[in-house]
Amino acid sequence: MSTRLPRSRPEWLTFGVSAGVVMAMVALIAVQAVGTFEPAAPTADRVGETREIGERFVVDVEVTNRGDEPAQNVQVVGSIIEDDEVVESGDQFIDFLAGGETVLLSFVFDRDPDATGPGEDVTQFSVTSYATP
Amino acid sequence: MPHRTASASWASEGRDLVRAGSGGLLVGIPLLYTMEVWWIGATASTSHVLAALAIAYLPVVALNRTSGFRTSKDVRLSDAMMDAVEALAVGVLSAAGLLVLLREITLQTPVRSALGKIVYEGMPFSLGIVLARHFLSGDADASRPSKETSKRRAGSAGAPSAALSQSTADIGGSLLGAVVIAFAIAPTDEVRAISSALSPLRLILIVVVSLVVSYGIVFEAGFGSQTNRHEHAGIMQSPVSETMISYLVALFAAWAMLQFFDRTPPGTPWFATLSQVVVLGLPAAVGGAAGRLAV
Repeated sequence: MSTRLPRSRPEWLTFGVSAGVVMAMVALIAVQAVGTFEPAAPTADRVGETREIGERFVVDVEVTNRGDEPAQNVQVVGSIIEDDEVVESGDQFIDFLAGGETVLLSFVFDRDPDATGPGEDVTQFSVTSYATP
Repeated sequence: MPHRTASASWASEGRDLVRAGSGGLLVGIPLLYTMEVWWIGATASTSHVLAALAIAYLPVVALNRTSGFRTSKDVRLSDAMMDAVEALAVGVLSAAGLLVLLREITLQTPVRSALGKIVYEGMPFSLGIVLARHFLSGDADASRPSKETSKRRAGSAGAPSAALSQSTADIGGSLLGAVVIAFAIAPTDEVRAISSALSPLRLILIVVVSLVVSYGIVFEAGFGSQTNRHEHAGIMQSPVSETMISYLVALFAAWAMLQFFDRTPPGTPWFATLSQVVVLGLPAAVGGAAGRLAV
């Protein structure tokens, strides 16, 4: 192992670029600290058309945390309601949802969520609970 | 005063940076496959992230004075401090690159979450970088074979039995290193979570990165037995063939570990199995490279 020689030009270049990277990181983090932080606010919205797979129906749902703080254990429930009664439902958990993050979920139903009949089926998707870490 | 030529300086600096990245991978890659670290990074407040970056700097400076990633020892505090900045930068860039490769950071990831993940994942990388020389110490410049050495090697490829023995040791080292690093990752949900979100193109990228990283650790980072490795005889005598064969060994080890933990039960689609093997194959390849240096 040799004693350290004076820094060469490549070493100075590496240091310059590295210092730039670290300073950019610090600046970006500092910028994120400026402003107000809204609490977590996850919401569920249906997206796209219903897809038929075999005899079942798949509906995609986007869950977005519209707040700035993260949410954990986000529970999303999808229900088909007929005559004010839930005739089919399913639920899913999202382990972690950062502020501003969106996750795509798919719900699978036996009934056609778009079918309209005498009872006027209604499909609902909602966030029913979440934890704030 | 001793001095280096310009080309030697650039080459030496390149090897120092490869060594830094290699050391970072050896320590950082297990935590890269830990979703709790992703979450901690994503949930941490900006003040915590800044504090983590500042706190990480202190042990990195201290370790630079005793170890570091360069072949020469840092005797001056100013050098240790400057190298520590480089270690932090290489650490966060390595972590960021791998998080993007594994799709834990995408264009949809909020900036704040991405920064937190990068800093928290980059910390173990930075520690690994400054411990690089301690892990598998050696002198890069001294370990690079001369043309005369290469000629001598070509003229004495070794007896067949010695070649076979060396190849067996290399394969054994790869297998052992792959298991040591990847065994703790194999049973986790992270492998399945990461692999399920990857496209075929992304998997090919992971294969390429695994091969490049494996090659870099063994043949470019200037770790201890680099000279010996260049002089190896046997079916793994050339750097390219050794890297390829070792990667296949790492993939086999990854597949075997997934089987052991029943992560790819019968009926699992072949592409899902392949995806998991390739995802676990990255840490296995890193471990395999370290294992070959250890034998």
